[in-house]
Amino acid sequence: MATRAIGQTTVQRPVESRRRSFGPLVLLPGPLGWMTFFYLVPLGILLVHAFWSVSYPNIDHTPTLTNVRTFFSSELYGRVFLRTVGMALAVTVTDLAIAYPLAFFLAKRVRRYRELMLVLVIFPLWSSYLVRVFAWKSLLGTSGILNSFLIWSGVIDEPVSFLLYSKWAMYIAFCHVWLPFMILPLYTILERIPNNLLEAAADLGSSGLRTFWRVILPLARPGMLAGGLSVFSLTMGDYITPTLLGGPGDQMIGRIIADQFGVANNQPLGAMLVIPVLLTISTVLAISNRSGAMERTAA
Amino acid sequence: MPSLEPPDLDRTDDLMDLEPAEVMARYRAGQLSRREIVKLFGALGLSAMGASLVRQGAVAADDLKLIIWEGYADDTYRKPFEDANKVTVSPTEAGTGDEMFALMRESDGKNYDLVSASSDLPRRLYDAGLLVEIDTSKLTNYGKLYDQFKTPDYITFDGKLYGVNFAWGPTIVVYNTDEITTEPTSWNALLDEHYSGKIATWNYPIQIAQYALLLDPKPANPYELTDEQLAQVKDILVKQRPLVRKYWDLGGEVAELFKNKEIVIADGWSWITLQVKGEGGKVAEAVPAEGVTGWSDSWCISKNAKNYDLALKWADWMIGDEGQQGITEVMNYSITNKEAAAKLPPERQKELRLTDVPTEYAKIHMWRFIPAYDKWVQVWNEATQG
Repeated sequence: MATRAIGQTTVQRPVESRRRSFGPLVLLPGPLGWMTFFYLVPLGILLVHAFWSVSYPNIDHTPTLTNVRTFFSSELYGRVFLRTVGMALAVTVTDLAIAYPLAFFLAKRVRRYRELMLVLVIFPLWSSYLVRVFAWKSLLGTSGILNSFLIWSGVIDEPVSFLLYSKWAMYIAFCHVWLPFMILPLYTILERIPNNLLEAAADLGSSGLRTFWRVILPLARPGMLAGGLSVFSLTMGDYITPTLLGGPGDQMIGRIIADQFGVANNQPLGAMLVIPVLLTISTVLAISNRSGAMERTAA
Repeated sequence: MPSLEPPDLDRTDDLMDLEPAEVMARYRAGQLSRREIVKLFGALGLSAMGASLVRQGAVAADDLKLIIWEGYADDTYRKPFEDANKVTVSPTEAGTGDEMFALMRESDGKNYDLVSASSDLPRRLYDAGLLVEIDTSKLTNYGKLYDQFKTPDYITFDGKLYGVNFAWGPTIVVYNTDEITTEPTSWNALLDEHYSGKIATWNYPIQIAQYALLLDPKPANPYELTDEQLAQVKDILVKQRPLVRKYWDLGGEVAELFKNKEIVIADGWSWITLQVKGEGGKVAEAVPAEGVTGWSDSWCISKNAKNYDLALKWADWMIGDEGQQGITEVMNYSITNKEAAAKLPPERQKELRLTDVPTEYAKIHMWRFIPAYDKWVQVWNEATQG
């Protein structure tokens, strides 16, 4: 409760926004219509598909639980799903650990070059995601830059192969490409923590670690959740990185779903497989929402 | 007195049923007033679509859209065709027949004119109602085909022809000659622990047939396996998985894997060998003693092709002298035009299995429609991804 009160003092909302006006209502139908037609309706179609089945060569529209049964009867889907959640969690935690010091440094320690450094954080997003993932191929490959360097420096005699086409390759690439999505919300929230709170903590004899634990962390939680949510869902849904960098037995649920719509030509099963992913992300979303991640990083 | 009446709403409804290109053609021909067009847009509720309609109308007539296996729209034979007919040919490369099927199906065949379907695929496309009959009277080179490629059973349904067979060949073993000095003689080479972490194999459920050739006793028809046989192949694939570096999706990808020394052995086609050699890689092909699977590719025309005649012209071009010669040079695949084959030097004819086509062709277990394909996909996914 106490942290919440402190948090509120930091958000200085302009008074005029309280004034009622019908102006904004005019803008509502646009976004609402957009959301309905391009988000809710397709989602509805997808969910309906999940309860259809394939009857060669077409789709049988009789409602059925065939796909649910397939999901539970084959070890494949559950295992791949858990693998995906595990990877998403690992990437989220890693990115948090990397992003926090960087965001704190940017928000509290840098003054002169802050804008420049922020641009540098966003900079990678200007290049195509595909290019960044591909770059890891040439870095991690058997005759890639890392292996060549390790051989040159005498650390290894033979190129190591576990770097590419493995879970490691996917993990490294994911952590790299999604990092800005963690840094930015963290930076936003840390920047808004008044310095005098940190000074007060220091004046009252709190150690650095204790200040971090009792003051900064509770206040930064919404930013951590917002960033974590982005990284987690981006990883959950990705299938390009696993396709390009993953090895045998490393595929994630996104690829399996994509395959149902392509290779396997079983759209109903593909639609069914989307449901656990949606449920997982919705759950994470609901938890974050309760913790107020949405309110304070929205600005 | 047709033109005196004000355009009524029914007419807008009629217009909405027409293809956008057709509406624009009528508009240009003066059969429709601008007002009717505006009303039509209004009725569609998306006046912004106007711009895209005009564009679509403009390109539809001279743009040929293909779904192909890599290499089938190579400059060597695509460019001359484009120049001769003043058209643009836009190819989309697919990694598997399943992908081709999905591409055709998602647009009900409207987005593509032609697909280079292998012998397993036309049946599926036909059953899904996506193909249109081939009018052989418009094919000037049709008579020059070997008899066996004129109306083979994989493109003939209910007595009608639905494809123009233009190329064929086997899926073979491709290996790095620096690393593997003795020529592999069996598909077991792709299961050899000696090459652990240096093996790639095609990520395509139909490859189950290739590994089925290793079963003892060997199935008479590797495309119709019993559940027991399917389970045995699954065991082979599960055993293979830890040895695999990468399940490859596109031919270009496996060529890249050879080039970057990620792998030393893989299954593939002659086009892949040529790609690696072109980059200076040292690879050779081997034909396993158990036999090989293979494919016989035909141009099939989409039921909703924008330009049927142009699509036929492409198919005709590809079974003509230049197209066929291009296929032998660029792809290193066998061809179907008897006269074009006779023009090749004798040693090339021998290399490309063209000295005795019926015998050579029969040696290959050609891909064919797989009745239990759902099961195959399931087994493949469980074995390779689980």
